[in-house]
Amino acid sequence: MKRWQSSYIRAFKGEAYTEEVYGELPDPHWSEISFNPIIESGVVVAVACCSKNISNRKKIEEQLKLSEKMMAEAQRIAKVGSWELGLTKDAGAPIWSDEAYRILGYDPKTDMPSYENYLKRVHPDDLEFSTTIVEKAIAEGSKFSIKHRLILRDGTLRWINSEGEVIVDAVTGMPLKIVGTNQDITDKVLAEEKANRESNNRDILMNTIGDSMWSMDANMNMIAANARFIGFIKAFTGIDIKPGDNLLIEKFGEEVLTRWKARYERALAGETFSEEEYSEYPEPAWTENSFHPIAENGKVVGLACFAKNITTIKIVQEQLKQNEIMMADAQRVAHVGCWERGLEHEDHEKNFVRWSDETFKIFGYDPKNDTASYEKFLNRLHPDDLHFAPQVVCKAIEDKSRYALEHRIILPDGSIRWISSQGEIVVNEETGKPMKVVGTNCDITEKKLMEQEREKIAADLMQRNKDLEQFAYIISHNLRSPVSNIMGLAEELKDDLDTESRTLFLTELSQSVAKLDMVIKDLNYILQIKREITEIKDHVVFSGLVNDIKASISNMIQTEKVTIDVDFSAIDEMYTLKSYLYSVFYNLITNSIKYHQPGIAPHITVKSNQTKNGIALFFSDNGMGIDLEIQGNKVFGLYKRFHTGIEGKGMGLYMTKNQIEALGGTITIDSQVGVGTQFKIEFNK
Amino acid sequence: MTSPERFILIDDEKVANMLAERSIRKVFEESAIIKFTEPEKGLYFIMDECLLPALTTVVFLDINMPILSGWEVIYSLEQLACDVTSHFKIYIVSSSVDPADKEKARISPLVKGYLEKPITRSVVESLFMEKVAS
Repeated sequence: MKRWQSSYIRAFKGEAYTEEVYGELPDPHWSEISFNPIIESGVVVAVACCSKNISNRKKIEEQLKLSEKMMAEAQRIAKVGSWELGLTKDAGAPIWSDEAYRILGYDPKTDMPSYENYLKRVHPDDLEFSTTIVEKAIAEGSKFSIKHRLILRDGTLRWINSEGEVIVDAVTGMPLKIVGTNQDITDKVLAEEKANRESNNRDILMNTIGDSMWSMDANMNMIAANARFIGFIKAFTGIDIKPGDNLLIEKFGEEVLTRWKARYERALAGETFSEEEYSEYPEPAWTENSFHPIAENGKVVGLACFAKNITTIKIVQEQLKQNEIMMADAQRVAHVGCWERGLEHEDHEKNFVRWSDETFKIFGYDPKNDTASYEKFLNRLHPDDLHFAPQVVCKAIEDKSRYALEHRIILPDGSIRWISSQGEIVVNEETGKPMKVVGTNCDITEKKLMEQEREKIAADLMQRNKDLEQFAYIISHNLRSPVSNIMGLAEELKDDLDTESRTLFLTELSQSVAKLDMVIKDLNYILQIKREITEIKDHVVFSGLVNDIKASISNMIQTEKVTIDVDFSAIDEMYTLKSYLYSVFYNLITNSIKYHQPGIAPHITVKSNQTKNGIALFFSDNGMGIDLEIQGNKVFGLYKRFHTGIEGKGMGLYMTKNQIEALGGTITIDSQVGVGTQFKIEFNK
Repeated sequence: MTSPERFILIDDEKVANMLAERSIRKVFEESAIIKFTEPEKGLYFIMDECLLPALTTVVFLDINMPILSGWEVIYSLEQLACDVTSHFKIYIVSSSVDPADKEKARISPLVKGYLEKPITRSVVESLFMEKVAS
C-alpha cells in the first residue's frame, strides 16, 4: 500500500514517471507502471496510470546482459577486445568492449571511447604505418590486420594485433563503419622474441665457431649445416650447398669422394668414430672428423658430422713430442734422470712416484714394464748408504729445503754405480706442507772413478815428491859429507906437517874422494831404477834365481856356513823383470848373511805362496834382527844402517824396496832382535 | 876467552872427529877432548855425567849417524830429569845444508847452535869469539 501511496503522491505533485515493479502474484512477473499527471490550469487534477506486463522484455534483457557479461568474460580471458568505429559524419563515439578498454589501458567506467584516445596509446614508431594501413582499408573497403605496439599510461609496452573490417553501404559503396578486435599478443611476441633470440644464438654459435657441422639423412643428403661447412664446400667446389642437396659433390674429385663415401657408409652402418686427416687445401691443416649416427627407433636415419680443425693442437702435440724426445735424449746423453715423489700421505705406498725413462735405466729397471716406486729405489741403494741417503732427504723435507748428495747403488748384475742425487721440496702453498720432492739422478760413476784415480795419483805424486825431497836431502848430505871431509883435510894439509900425519891425511883424503865417487855412482844407479822400466819382462823361475845367487856367493856361503832352504812348491814362476828380481833376492839373502848372529850359522828360508790376489814371497833368517819399535820406519830408508861395525852403505833395503815397487809389489818386514827377520813380498795381479 | 874444560865429539866418521879435534887443539891447547864414533856410547856418557858435578863441556853432535841420529840423541837427553844444559853446551854439527835441520836446532832448548862441517880452526874461533862479544 505504502509503495502505491508514495507513487501516487509523486504523480500528484506533477511528476510523470515510470517504474518497473516485480511481483510474485498471481505469477512471478515484471510490470512497467507509468504515472502521468493530468494537469488542468496548472493544477494536477488526476493521475492516469498504466500497467504493462514486461516480463518477456525483462527476460530478454536479462539474457542479453548475461551474454554480454559472458562475452566480456570471454574477451577478458582471450585478451581480445572488440570495438566499432562509425565512419559517417553523424556517427557517434566508437564503441569499445570492456576488454578493449583494458587492453588500451583505459577504465570502462571513467574513460571515454574515442579514436583519438586509441591513437594516443599507439607506439610513436608504429603510428604512421598503422594509420596508413587503416586508411587504405577504409579506402578499399577491405579487411586489415596490424601488429603494433602500444605504450600504456604507466609506460608498459604492449603488443596488440588489431584486426578490422570496413563495412560498406551496399547501395552507395560508402564506408559506414569499421568493426574489429584488438588482441593483446604481448606474451606471445615476447615468447617469440625469446625463441628467436635463442635460435639466433644457436645460429651464431654454430656459424662462428671455426669447426664445420653438418647433418645428413640416410641418403647422404644434407639436412642442415653451419656457415663454416657451407663456406668450406663453396671454397672447395664453388657450389652453394643447400639442405636437401647430396653431400657427395662430384667436384670434390674421385679420391676425396671415395674417402668420404666410405666414412659416411661406415657411420651409417651405426659406428660412431673420428679420424684425423691432413690436408693441404684450402690451407695446410689437420682436421679431426667425427661421425655420429642419428638413430630413430633403432634405425640409423642420418648422421651428425663434425670437422674440427686440430692444427694448433697437432703442432703443440708435435712440439711436445719433440720436446719429450729432446728431453729424453738429453737425459740419456747426460746420464741424468728426473723423478718426483709425493709426500702428502703418511704411508709411502700411497704417494705417487714418477720416474723419467732415464731414471729407470740408471736404476737398472725397464721403463716399459716396470713401475716406479720408492721401494724400487731402496732396493738398489747400496747397504752402506741405506741409512745416510734417505736421512739427507728426510732432513730436507723437514727443512723444506734443497739437498745434494752422492751415493752408491747396486745394479742387478752386481755392479756398483755412483749416483749424484739432487732434489728440492715443493711446498703446498695453501697448507705450507711439503707436497712432493722433485729431483734428478746422475750416474757419475765414470767421473767418480776418475776422481778417485786423480786422488790416488795426487796422493802418489805427493808421496813421490816427499820421497824425492828426502832423496835430495840424503843425497846432498851424502855428497856433502865426503866433501866436507875433503875440505877439512885439505885445510889441514896446508899446515906444516910431519911425514906421518901427511901420509895419514892423504890416505883419508883419497878415501873421502873414493866415498864421494861411490855416492855419485849410487846416485846413478838409483836414478836408473827410478826411471821407467825399459827392460822386457820374462818368465823368471824362483828356484833358478836362488841357485844363480848361491853360485855367485859360494865363497861367502862356505865361510859363514850358510844354509838356504827353498820351497817354491806353491808357485815357482813369475812374469817380471829378471834383473830386478835377481837384485831383490841377492840383497835379501846377502843381508841375512851379513847380519847373522855372532856364533850362529846363518839359516835362510825362501818360500813362495799363491795368494788371492797374486804371489807372496817370504825370506826368513835367524839373524840379529832389528828393533822395529825404534827403527821400524827407517828400515827401507836410504843410507840407513842399523848395525855399527858391519860393512854396509845403507842402500841395500832402500834399493830393494824401490825395485819391488817398480815391479808393482810391496815389501814388509817382521823382525825380533836376537831371533831373526822375515821379509814378505807381495805381487798383485 | 875462557877455555871450555872439555870437548865431546860424536860422529860416526873417524875422519870428521879427527879433523874437529885438530881444529879445537889449535885454539884450546889445554881442553880435554873425548871422541865417540858410536852415538849411543856418547849418549850414555852424557847421561851418566848429567847428575854429577861435571866439567864445563862443549858437545859437537853429528846428525847423520846409523843406529842413533843426532836428533835421537837430543830427544833422549830431553827425556832426562836433570838439566843437561847446565854444564853441556851442545852444538849440532852436520854436512847437511837442510834448512829444516837448522830450524830444529834453533828451536831445541838443548841445542846451543848449528855448525856446518868441516869444523875448522876458524869455526871454533868464531864460535867462542861470538860468545865473548855477546
